[in-house]
Amino acid sequence: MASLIKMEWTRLRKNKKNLIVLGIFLAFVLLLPSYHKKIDEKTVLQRDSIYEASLSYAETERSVIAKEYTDTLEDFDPDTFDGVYPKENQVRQDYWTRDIAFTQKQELAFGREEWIEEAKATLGKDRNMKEGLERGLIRERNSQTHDIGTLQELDNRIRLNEYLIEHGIVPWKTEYNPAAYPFLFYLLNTILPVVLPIIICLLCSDCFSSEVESGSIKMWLLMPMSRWKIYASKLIANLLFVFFALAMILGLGVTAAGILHGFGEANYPISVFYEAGQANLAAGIPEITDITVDYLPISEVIGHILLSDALFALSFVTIVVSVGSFIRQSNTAVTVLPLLFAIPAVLPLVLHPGGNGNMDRWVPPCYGYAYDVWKADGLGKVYGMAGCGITAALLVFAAVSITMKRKDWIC
Amino acid sequence: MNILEVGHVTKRFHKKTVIHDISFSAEEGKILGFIGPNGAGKTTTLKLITNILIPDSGSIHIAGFDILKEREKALANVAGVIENPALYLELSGYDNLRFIQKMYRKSNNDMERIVETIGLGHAMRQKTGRYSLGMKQRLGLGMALLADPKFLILDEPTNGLDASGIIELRELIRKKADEGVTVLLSSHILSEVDKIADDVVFIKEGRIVDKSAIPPAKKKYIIKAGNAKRIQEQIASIGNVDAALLNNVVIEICMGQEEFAKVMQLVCQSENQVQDIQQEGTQLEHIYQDIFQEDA
Repeated sequence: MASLIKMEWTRLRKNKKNLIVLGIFLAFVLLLPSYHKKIDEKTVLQRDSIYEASLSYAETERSVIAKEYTDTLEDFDPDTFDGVYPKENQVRQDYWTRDIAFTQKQELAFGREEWIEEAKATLGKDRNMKEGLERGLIRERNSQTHDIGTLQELDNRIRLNEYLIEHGIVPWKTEYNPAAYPFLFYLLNTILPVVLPIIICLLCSDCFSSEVESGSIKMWLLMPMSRWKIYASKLIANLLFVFFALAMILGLGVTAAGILHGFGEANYPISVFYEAGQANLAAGIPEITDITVDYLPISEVIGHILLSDALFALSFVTIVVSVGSFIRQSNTAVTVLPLLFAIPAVLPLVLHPGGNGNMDRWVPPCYGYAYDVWKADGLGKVYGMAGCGITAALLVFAAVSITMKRKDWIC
Repeated sequence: MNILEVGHVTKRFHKKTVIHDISFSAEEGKILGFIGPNGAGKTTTLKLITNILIPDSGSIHIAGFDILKEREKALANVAGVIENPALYLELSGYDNLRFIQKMYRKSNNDMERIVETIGLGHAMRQKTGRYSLGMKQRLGLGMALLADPKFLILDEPTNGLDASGIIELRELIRKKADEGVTVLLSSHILSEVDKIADDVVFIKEGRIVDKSAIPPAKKKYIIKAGNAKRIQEQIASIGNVDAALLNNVVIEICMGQEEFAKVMQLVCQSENQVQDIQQEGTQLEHIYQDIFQEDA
């Protein structure tokens, strides 16, 4: 079987179409660091204008709501207030309170010294809570509530604040960092969810049909070994080739970004907005809402995404190679298989033209697999998804193996 | 002992039966010709034998192993070229051959011997996509031989080969048979099959033709004689013999094996001034014509 895998690897490596596909993506990734820097600069400008607009809006809103509130409570007497608001005004009161808090946070974001003080206070509080959790004095709450969060979240927050205080960084004010680590993160988080299925379809969809056309498939079928081994050999070789292509693309991109903008730091903090499904750089667009925010070192985040991408590739290559093993014309395979996955990707864009670029809005489930894994809260769910992906791949593999034993296969 | 046993095999494609309950066998160390017109089911049968296709019913045994149940053991005895040589066109001749070398764990010496046998020389370093059909046939044959099979299947092996290539191939097949390899040779060049096959199987419209049911074929002779008209008159009384004067000195006689001696006795009389006697067509061609008369 090792010989078959090696032979398929040789074929894939010397196939003209595969070399062209690889060349195109390598050229694309070489140009990307410069583009990445440009969009980063543009995003910083957008971020600042959004800040100013939102701050101004919040201030206006606050004054309007405060006036409305005062008007509504004409007979409100602070001296005799017993702490219980009239029921009909409770909602308005809550809103007003939240709005004030929001504005305060916005204001805080612009003040460097104040923010550092706030971060130090948070750090002290988090350390106390961590100690309390470790000694069993308090209990972990659900991570979604975030008041205390899990021990892992506390750890992340402590590490982040330590890093930010040590480097004097105000998250909402720092400039983008176009170095190699953040660029790799950008590649994995933004580019790969779309590009990876395309690469897999282009490289693997005709792995059987092209051999049927050239007649070389008969060389395989005449081999004294089970058909499932022939199928598995091709599958493994194609999977390895996809990994090889990915390593080339990511390696070249990171090297190019590193040479142009430096390599950055492995513990650069990333803010992760789980509920929004966004994972922005620490200096990204501020989204001060109630969603869960965690901070992880960039190397850890990259590790998570690489793991999820590997699992995605495993299941996707299995599906593409398996479906492709029943298509006899390579033109059909190369056209139909990418279309099967492209249509659900393009349809949401057609239905919602001019989307705001939020991946959550338009990445369909079939592409969003890796993305969903990333969105999942913590490594536990990554392994959960890994289990699902591997189970799906094994089921497809078993179904194809059984079918090919009993029916005419490919010839 | 039979290395190949095909028993009551039937194959359907989309409800259309293309192979009807065929049975035949190949004896070890013999060359079995497999003959039939285009569309008769030759290649489909070869694909069934090699498990590229799976029969709807019936059994196929190679070296005693059921191809459906013990595919690996059965195919360990088989190699061949079916339909056209199975080559990677983007790889060189050496790369293609090396694949077989590794798969069947053959030595470099074995490989060099095969390279010498197929005589492709420097072309072995070129991509096979640039090969002529004849070169592809040679390489395909080399790959089959490198596997060192007990049972060699060759489907139209002379396609694209030049005259010297055909002669070399014929000698090679004979040599392999002498070494104990069974060869199943499917070809439309009847003279080639006739020269080397020990036995022949005919297939017509997906059915094996029963040779015993075929009446003995008449052979056609062209006789050049000074007195051809006299010959015609002399043999007119002999039954089952057809004679036709082509001109004053050439006569065409069709007769069976039984009448041959009697006719020749009359023809060779000195008064007839016989200058030349030629047999037209091979025996196999005559049988083929008898079987596939309608197709012809």
